[in-house]
Amino acid sequence: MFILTSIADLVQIHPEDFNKEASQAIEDNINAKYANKVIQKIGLCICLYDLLSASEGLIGHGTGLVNVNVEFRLIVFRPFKHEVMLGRISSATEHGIRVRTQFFDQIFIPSSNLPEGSEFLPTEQVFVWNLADGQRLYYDNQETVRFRIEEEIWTDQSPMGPKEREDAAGTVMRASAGSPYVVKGSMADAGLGPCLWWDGDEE
Amino acid sequence: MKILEAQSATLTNYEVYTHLTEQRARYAKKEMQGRRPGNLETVVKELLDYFHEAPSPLGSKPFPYNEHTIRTLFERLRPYDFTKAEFLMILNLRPTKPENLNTIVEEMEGRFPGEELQLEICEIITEVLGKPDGEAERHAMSENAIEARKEVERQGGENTEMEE
Repeated sequence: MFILTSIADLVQIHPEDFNKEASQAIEDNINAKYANKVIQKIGLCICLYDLLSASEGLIGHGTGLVNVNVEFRLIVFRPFKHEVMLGRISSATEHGIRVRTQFFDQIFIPSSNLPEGSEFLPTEQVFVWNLADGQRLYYDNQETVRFRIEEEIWTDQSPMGPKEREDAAGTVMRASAGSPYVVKGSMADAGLGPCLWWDGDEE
Repeated sequence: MKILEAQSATLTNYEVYTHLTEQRARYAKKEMQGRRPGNLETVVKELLDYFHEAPSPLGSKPFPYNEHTIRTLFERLRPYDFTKAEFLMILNLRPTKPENLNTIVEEMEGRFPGEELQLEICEIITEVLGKPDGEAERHAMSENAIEARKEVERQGGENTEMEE
């Protein structure tokens, strides 16, 4: 689920942070910039893992900021393809089920990735799995589920330049509400789906 | 910002968990040095909540991991030739039954035919990582779900009141 990513960046320490230890000031700076944010094609950054190197602090003209070039490693949430994860169902529509974890809620299970025999009940707004023997199993909201990662979708949210906007204006306006990082999953396999279905004790 | 290496290593949940708890302990000690960035606090709290929630092995008691766990499990499972990704998931999810192992291991029937062999693998995992308390976990999961549903209803109720 988690990876380490090495990044080089310039950290600017403000004079009000001079009473902190240098390493702590750098750490806070990096965390303030990256924690809980998505980098395109990298993943959701969690926090600093370790500092690899830092240059001398340099003060530029006109400001009191100390500039430090640092290299560091970040803990990043980036599940790999076919990884099995735990989450909770947050809601369902006829297109599929939305799953969330406490820290990341952009997980979607399309209805085509549910086991065969699943159907959406519009009156109750939940999916149900009709077993061959007539039993019906519900994908209730807030149920803890196991799912497999199938696909990731990146949406670059950086603003467009005036030139690009002109080019795009004639065609389709880009959806601005999309989230930067969406994961698509599957529950169409034995052992996937609500944990309560599978985790019974035999003895 | 320049990405030097997009993926220099993969981490198990346990390693992330230790890093976060150590970081918290470190920050608690140096209280006088001011607050940490808010976005960091948010993601760390949410992540720890996620790790503690049943049926995650990190939330079970006794705590199943220590610093030797990864090495021990790796050595015990070496003869079975799991891929790195599979091994990572075994550590994170602790499958102690063939059905659970099946979701993690690709083409399990082809590679580990027969229930005996599969049970043998599960046995090793149980020995190293311990056995989940199935009853308590199921109870916690249903409790969590009921609690969360109530929360949603409560919020829904407030919203409609406001509209009126």
